[in-house]
Amino acid sequence: MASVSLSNITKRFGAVSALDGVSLDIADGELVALLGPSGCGKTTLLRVLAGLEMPDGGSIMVDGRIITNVAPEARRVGMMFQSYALFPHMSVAQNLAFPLRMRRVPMREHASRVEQALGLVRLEGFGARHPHQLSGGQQQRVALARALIDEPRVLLLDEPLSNLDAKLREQMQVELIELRAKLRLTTVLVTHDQHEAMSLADRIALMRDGRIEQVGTPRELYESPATPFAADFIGAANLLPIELEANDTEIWAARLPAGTAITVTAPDDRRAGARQLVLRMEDLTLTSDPAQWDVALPIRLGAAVYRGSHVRQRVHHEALAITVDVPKAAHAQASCATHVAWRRRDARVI
Amino acid sequence: MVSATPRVWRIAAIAVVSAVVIYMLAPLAVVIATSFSASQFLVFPPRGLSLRWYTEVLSSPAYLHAAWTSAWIAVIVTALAVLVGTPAGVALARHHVRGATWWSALFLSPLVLPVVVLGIGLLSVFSKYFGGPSYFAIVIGHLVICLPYVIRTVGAVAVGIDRNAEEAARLMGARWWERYLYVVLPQCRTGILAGGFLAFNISFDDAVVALFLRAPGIETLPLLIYGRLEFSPDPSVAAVSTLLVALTILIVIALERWFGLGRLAH
Repeated sequence: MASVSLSNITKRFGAVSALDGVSLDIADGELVALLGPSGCGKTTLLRVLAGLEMPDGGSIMVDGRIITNVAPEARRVGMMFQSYALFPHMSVAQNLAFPLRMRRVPMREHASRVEQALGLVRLEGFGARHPHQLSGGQQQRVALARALIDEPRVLLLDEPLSNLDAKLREQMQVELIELRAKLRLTTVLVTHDQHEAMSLADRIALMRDGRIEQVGTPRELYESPATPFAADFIGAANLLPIELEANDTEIWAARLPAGTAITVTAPDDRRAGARQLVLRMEDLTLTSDPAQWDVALPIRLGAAVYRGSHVRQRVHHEALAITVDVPKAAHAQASCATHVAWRRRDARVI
Repeated sequence: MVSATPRVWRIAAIAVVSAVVIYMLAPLAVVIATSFSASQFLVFPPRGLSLRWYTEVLSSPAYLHAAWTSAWIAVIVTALAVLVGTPAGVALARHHVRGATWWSALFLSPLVLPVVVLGIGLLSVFSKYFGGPSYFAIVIGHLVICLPYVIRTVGAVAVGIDRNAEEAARLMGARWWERYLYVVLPQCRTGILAGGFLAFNISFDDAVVALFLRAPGIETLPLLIYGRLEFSPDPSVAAVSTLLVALTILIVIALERWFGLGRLAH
C-alpha cells in the first residue's frame, strides 16, 4: 500500500506534447480513474507511473520517496495491460508464478500463492490451462491475478474491461469492486468509459490534451463540472450559451441567444457576461403547465429515441435544440407538452 | 446469384495445376524409379528391379564418409546459424536497432546474391587471410548462406509477439536476459526450428560453396554425387538421392509431430 504523488509531469513524443504539466496526488488505498478521450495522455501517464516511459520533466513520489529514476523492474508496481499480455507459452499457473520466480520468492511458497491468487479471481482449478484455452473474461482475470500476486504497492489497470462484451463487462465491474473492498490497494485505472470510471473510482481525473481538466469524486464531476468539456464528457448534458447579468442577490437574470429571459442561480465566481448553462438531460421535464416551474421555455417537439428505461426526446426552443430524457412512465403525457422546464438549482452556470 | 465458373475454365485450371504438379514431382519420380534399377547404367525407364544400388551405397566407404562429413558440417553450421541468427532476427524484428533496414538488407543479401559470386569472394578472402580452403572455410561459407533463413524465420515469428508481454515481465521484476530467455525466446521456438531445419538442409545440400572452398581430400556428399555423375554415372547416385529425400521427409514428419511446425501461427 502506498500513496502516490505526481508533480508537474511532462512528456513529449517528437513535436507532440503527450503530457503537459500533470500533477496528481493519490491517497493510500484510493482508486483514481484517468478518464478522457483517446489521445488525451491517460495511457502515457500510466506508463510514466509504471516506469515504461521516462518523463521529460517532473517527479513521481511513492510513499514520499522519489522514484522518477527507479527502473520499472524495481518499482513493485503491478500492471494489467489492455491486451492482458499473458505469456502464451506458459500455463496459467506458470504465468502466475512468473513474478514470484523473478522476485526470488522461495519455490515452496509458489504453489500455495498461485492457488490463493486463483481463488481471489475465482479461477480455482484452471492452473494447468493455457491462455488460449480461456475465454476473454477468464484471461482478464488471470492477468489481474498475475498483477496482484506479488503484492505490488500500486496497481495499474490499462482499460481493463474494454476487451469484454457489455454483459461480461458489468459483471467484472462488480467483481473488481468486491476485490478492491478486500484488498484496499492503491489503484490507478485508465479508461475512456465514463460509466466504468464512475462506478469504480473514488476519484476521477478527467484528462484532455495532456492536461488534467478536473479532479473530483464521480459525484462532483457529474454535478459540478468545472468546464464545458467536463460537463459534456461526463454524462451527456445540454450546454446553452447565455448572457448573464449580475446583481446582489442569489438569483441572476440571463438571456438565451433567442432573447428569451430566464433566471439562474448566481455562479460561485459571480462573473457576469457570456457564460454557459449546463442542463443534465434527466433534470429537464416536459410539461404543459409552466407556471409550476422556476424556469420554462415554450417548445416544439422533435424526434424521440426509445431507450428502454427512458425516451430521449429532442425539443426546439426557437433555434435552440435541447435534449430531454423522459422517464418511460411520463412519456405518454410528454407528447402533448408545450414547455421544457427545470428547477433553478439543477442548472449550473460555467 | 453467383454465376458458376464456365466449364472450360475449370478444365483449363485443372490442366494447369496438374502440369505444375507433374513438372515439380517428375524429377523426383525419375530419380526414385531409377534407384531401384537392376541395370549398370543410369537410364530411365529403369531395367529390372533390385536393391543392389542401395546395398552398394550403404556399404561404400566413399559414400558413408562423404555423408558423415556433410552431416557434421551441417550440424555445426546449423548450431552457429541458430546461435547468431536468433538474436539478430529478434533484434531486427522487435527493437528499434539503428539502421534496421540496412542491417536487414546486409543480412539477407546472400539470398539474392549469386552463390557463385559468394564462392569466389570467400575463396579470395580465405586464400589471402585464413590459409586457403579448409573445413573451417566451408563452415563459414555455409554460415553466410544459411544465416538469412534463420533471421527471416525467427524475425517472422518475433514480429507477432505481444510487445506488452516483455513490458509486463519487466514490471514483474524480470531483468533483460530473463525477459529474453523466458518470454521472447520460447515464443520464437517455431521460427528457430524452421530456420534450423532450413539451415541444415541448405548446408547439407550445398555443392557450390563447398566446391570453391574445399581443400583436396575434403569430400561432401553433394560433391561426391557430382563427381560420380561426371565420371562414372551409375544408379547408386539415384539411390543416395532417394535416401536423402526419405530422410528429409522423416525429419519433416518428426518436427511436425513433436513441435507442430504446421501450427506456426500459434
